[in-house]
Amino acid sequence: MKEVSAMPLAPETRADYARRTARALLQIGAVETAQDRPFILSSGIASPVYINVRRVISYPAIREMLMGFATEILDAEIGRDRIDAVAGAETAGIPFAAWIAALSGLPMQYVRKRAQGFGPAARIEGVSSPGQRVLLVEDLTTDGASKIRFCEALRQAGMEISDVLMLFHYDIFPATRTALAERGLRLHALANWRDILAATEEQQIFTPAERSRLAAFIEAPLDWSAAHGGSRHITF
Amino acid sequence: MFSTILTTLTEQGNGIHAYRSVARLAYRTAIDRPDQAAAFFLLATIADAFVERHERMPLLSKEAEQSFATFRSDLEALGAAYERQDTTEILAVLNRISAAHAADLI
Repeated sequence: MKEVSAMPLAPETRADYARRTARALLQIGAVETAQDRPFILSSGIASPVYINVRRVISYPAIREMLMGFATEILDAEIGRDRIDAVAGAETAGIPFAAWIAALSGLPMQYVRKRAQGFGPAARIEGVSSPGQRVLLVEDLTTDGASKIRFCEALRQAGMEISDVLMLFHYDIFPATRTALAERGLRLHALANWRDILAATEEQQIFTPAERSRLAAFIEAPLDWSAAHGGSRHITF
Repeated sequence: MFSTILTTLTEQGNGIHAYRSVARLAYRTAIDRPDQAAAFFLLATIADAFVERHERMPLLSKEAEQSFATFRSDLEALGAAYERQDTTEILAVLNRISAAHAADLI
């Protein structure tokens, strides 16, 4: 396999990827705004918005563009020669891992939510071996809890993991980055809520009230949640 | 022990993570308390089903509140039946809750 060492993307290129990803997610209707009552996230946090990144799989042109960005980020921020395989997280991470594996020429596995069978690799599907350096691929990260569980499963199987690549990261909970950093994990995402907010303003998508709610949530998500009946802290 | 389940659920925010924790706790309790295993195993499967149904889906706060109210009601009914040690009542409550949740899962 050709070795590709990490060489950072220019900040304007990275920002362009984020902008185009955010526009694409809005274009395919991946972002929903709550009407009367907020959505409840996995941690019990109330949110005025919900994002369904899984919709990307049904739009070939957008899918191809985003998987191209993801592979560029893999090369630039992680280094193709620093990983031995791409692992998709069941379920939503699997198709994206497959496309990134195909574009990068890397082997692929997937990690199950629950063990099937016995032994330390009971949650890994595909060929794996202790010491293998794996990149975890997911559709999105909200609070990071599922990422931690998937990485623990990979480590239990003896695999090495230090990076997680996803299409979308909420990136509004400082506790998430801290919790993942404490576990030796770095996050790489194509876009986050700030990029979505910027795209909605640029394209005048959503009403001013909806944009205002999203901005308030991004600014102080735990306060917004508590004020709307949700939890005021993140649980992992 | 039934109150511990409720405390875990509320302290962890009544979301997906909370139900996942409750499922683990209830499975462990079913092992530790064989005299109440049926109740805790049932609660664990209900919590698991909530996670399976709502994980990564747009869960509205109204639905979350309804699920919490039902779960709390089930917990209280089971707790009261076991408190009275009335085996007929215990069986009736277990059957009623099982039938209701089986209907939801079909």
